[in-house]
Amino acid sequence: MPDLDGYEVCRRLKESKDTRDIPVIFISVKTSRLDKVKAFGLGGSDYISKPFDPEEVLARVATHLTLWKAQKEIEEKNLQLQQEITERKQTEESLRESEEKYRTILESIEESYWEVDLAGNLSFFNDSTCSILGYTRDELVGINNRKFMDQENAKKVYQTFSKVYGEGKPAKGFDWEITRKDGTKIYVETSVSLRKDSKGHPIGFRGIGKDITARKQAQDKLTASLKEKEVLLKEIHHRVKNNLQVIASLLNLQSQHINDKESRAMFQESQDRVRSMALIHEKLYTSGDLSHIDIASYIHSLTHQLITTYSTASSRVSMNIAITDIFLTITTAIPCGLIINELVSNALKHAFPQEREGTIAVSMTPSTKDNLILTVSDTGIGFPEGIDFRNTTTLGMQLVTSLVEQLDGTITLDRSKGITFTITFRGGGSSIREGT
Amino acid sequence: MAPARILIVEDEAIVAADIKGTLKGLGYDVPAIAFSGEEALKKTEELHPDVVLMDIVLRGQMDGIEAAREIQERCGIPSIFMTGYSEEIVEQLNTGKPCLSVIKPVDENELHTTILKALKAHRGHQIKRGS
Repeated sequence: MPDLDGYEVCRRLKESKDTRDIPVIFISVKTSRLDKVKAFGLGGSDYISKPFDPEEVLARVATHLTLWKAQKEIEEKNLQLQQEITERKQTEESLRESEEKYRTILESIEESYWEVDLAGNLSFFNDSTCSILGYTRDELVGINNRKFMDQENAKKVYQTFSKVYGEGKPAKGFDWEITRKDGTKIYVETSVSLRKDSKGHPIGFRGIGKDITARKQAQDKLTASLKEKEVLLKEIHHRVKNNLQVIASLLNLQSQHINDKESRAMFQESQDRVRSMALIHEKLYTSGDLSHIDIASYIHSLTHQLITTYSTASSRVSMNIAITDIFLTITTAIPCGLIINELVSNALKHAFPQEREGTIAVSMTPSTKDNLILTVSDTGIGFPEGIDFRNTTTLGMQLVTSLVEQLDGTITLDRSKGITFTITFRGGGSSIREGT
Repeated sequence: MAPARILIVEDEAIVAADIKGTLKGLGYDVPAIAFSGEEALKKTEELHPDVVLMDIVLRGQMDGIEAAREIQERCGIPSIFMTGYSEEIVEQLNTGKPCLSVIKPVDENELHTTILKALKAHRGHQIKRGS
């Protein structure tokens, strides 16, 4: 070959990236061993000496082409494998990171994390589980959950597990009592969910538990303190009622030394007023609600009390009480009770003289927003003509007028048929039960 | 016939005095007033009244219901309970044997008829026992 010999061509071909892979077969008359070595040294694939048999050359070319293809394939496969290895390494790294992350979370949380098999034997748990239960890690491995709870709580846990197993849904926020290794009892609030294998078959349960003993104790303390206050409040209302009854008794005892009929009547009226107040306190401590008075029940008792006091009228006069379920606070109930006391006892004393028969009616109904309407009426002889009820000399009516003002209400008198007093006032803080 | 004798059991002295006045006005004899269940038992055994008028809420360990039961068992003497308007207490009483009660503050007429009822039942019982 002129200028460029075969060796040089091969060298250049092998130098270039694009042609490097092309197999080069030397054909030469030179047959010295050194030439052959040189040719292979430059990257030649084969060396055929002239003169040559064309069939041999073709066979050699075919072999080299097959070899070349095979090499190419191996290279490609290699490349693929390399890529796969890289990807796998990346996946492994992120898996490791993720596992590290969750392990850190599990080991740093105060909550207990645990896993049990379907029989309730511990298979996995974090350090907080050990510290909450008071056992070492070695002691806990494979232990059944029944070991650290009494029968009642074990039953509760069993029921919860069964429910989670049956429904497949997690159970959240139920609490049970656990007995620690040292015998102390603690409360744990837990969420439980079902563990499944890769085929979706249940294999056990996992849960996160939180020690809520302190919260539970604080709650119990609060409940006890509330109960204590309730008892105290009842005791106070009972005391107040007793004291008012003592005052009523004092007035009664004193009145026995009075011969004047009119003065005795005044003492009787004073007793009635004190008793109507005592009754409010009695209603308060005997009802479930210590701040509201069931006004219907109160008025029934109050009118019964008055009717037995003025028993001369009891057989001729009937009481008609119509009241919705209204509950008044003590600040409203006391003036309200006193007003009813005055108006009903007035009716009992004056409306039905000389064996006259009739009815006294008391009703209370809600009207517009926040307002209540109280009516006290009788079918008696009516209010004396020419007298303004707001301007009488009797203490009873003066008290009624003042008490209505105290309630920030209005009072009207209808004289068309017997007597009807209508008092409208704000029920401040009262409540009305619907539908009864 | 000598007036019936009634023991009052009531921890408020003034209320007791008031009731005593009412009873005397009705013509009864009140030999004593007891302020607690324990005292009521002691005085009943000492004085053998015909009827005991018993408040329910008393100072001391024993309440009126318990005291009345003891008195009935030991001395065979009936008690009339003085209750508030509270239904709670009435229900509590109704769980035991039928009993007599008056509402506090006691009304003279109601008290009178109830005492007559108690005396009648008691005397009837005594006659049966005697025969």
